[in-house]
Amino acid sequence: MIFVQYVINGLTIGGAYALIGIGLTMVFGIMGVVNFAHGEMYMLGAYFLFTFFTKMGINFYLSMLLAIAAVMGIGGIYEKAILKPLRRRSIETVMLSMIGFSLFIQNIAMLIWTPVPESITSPFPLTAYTLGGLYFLPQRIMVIFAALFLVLLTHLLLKKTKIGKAMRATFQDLEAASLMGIKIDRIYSFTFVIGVGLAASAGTLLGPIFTVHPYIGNLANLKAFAIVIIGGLGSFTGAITAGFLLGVFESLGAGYVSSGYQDAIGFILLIIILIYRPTGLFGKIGQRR
Amino acid sequence: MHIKSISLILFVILLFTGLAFGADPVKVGVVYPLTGPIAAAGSYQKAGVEIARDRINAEGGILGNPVRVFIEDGANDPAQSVSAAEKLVTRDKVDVMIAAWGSSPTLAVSASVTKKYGIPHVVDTASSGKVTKLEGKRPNSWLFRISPTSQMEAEGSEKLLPKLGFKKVAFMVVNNDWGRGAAQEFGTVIQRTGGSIVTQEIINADATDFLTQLTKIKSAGADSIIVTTDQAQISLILKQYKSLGMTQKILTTGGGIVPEGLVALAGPEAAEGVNIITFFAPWFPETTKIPQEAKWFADEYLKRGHAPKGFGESFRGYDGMKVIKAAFEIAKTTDKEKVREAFHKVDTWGLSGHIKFDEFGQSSPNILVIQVKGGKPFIPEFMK
Repeated sequence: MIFVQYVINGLTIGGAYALIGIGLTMVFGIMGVVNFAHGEMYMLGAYFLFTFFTKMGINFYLSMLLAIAAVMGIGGIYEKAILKPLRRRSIETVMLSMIGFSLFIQNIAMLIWTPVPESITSPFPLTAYTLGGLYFLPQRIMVIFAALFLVLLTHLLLKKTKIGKAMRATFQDLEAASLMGIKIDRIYSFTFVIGVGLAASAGTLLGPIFTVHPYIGNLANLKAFAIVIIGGLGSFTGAITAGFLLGVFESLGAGYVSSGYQDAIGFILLIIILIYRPTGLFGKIGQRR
Repeated sequence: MHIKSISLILFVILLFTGLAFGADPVKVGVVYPLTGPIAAAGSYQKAGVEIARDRINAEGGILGNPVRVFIEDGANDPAQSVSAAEKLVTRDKVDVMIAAWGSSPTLAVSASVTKKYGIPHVVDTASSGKVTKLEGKRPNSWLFRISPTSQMEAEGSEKLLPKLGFKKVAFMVVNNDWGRGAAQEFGTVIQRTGGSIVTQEIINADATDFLTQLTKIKSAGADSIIVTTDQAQISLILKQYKSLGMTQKILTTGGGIVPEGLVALAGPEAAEGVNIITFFAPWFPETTKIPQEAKWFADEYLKRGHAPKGFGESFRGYDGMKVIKAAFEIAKTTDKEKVREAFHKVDTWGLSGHIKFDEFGQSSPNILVIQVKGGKPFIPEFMK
């Protein structure tokens, strides 16, 4: 019975991991940009929700949307101001700019919200539902469904819309897509904003479960990178599978081995997968990036 | 009217330049974590230092000279704390130092800065025994600690643990010198009082999800949990503990936890009934020897707009400054050797109790247990 409970716990945190992972994998897959500020966008999402909902008293769901929109706006400005001029530069230059951006955002957050941790009041009941001796936390269940919904939405965007088609074309062959009249710059901006929006939505979903302070992005970044590499760079299915897998492994590891090794277990999983599948679970061999 | 105000401004300017150029200030170097995951604690303690500085300066400074505080960020990281302390000594030429929050950075600053340069070093937070006693010897004769060791905390609560009903105890401790040390010291005390340790869960400092650890504690049949980590993480543990419908008694150690913080971060429902070890209870000034000053401090702290969740840390910085003032006034000079000797003669009362150093440079503050009752701080009967 306790095994099943560990797996359920792992799946609930895994849903959150998957959500953090997909935004990162998308930006990397389509733009080739390693977004080191992904965790900071997650942090901003949580802080904007805190400001709109807890401080200003705006409706919870409206606050969530406003928070996501605000972060997308910031991402859009950054993309236009910094990433666009660096488009033809080496990947190292772009990486350095992303690291700088993440430090900048962290410190700005410290100035605005101070390093004092805050708590977002939650509209969901605290107490878990019990079913056959197993516990289910209402808000965690909501996170899983919201994550799956957002993944589905992103999938539909990529597969069923015109701009999604253009994004996939850019991914497959930049020059051919450009020759066909696809405005690459616009596709990149759009991709970055969507990716950042996914990080922010993870922040708004997880913010009320956890506490909010300017450094929550560090852990989110760590997990997101592990997930993206386990799942295969640029792979959506991979990020989702890896998210749930990591959650369950961590939970079982903490339960049966030792909770001191909870983070190490995730990385042991990463190493094992890289030994047997160097491109990750769903990465294609010989892929461009 | 205009001439009056202009002359007033001139007077104020002259006053300040007089302070800056006329008198030679006593320079206090402070290394706290102002960035990184522990930045909140550092900011609360900085507030305490500033309140003390302003009070001391308003009362005429130290030895008739104003006090100047130089605060550097050590991020609770040994390497960064050492370079911050080094900068304070070589560039700012500080007379005395308060450093560096956690046990690991404190040990680093002690070994490679204050001992090397011979700077009186006040420790106001670190709780690892190694700071004042290493293999039975005092590692740094310049270091004086006003915060209690984990061992003092555990022994201070020895008589209280059976009264609280701590029999089958589970530990949840943060993965560093502080957390592991606390588990060891409290473990010894628990066994001495006839209790047993059911399980020990070591958690990472940045972890946010504890459902698995809590599930394990629950199924192990523990009747109580001793938690050692910072306030934000304890709040997450409490929230998830409540979600799982757990009823085990909880005791937090380390002294940085206050009911306001738990209520604000975990919610009143989850914070209810938690037992908290603290060294200063601002809500009950009568628990100190200096109730008027304690009340004044609590009011001043809130008046300056600082968060009530920081009460558990802010007093440390205040007491650190207080003991510095006391030592300099005994020494009657800023000569470092004389100041060091003077620290041994200090016998004063701080917010956290009696400040008097033993031969290892260790002081013994109050160890209090308070509870959260109806979302408010509460002093249990057995403490009175």
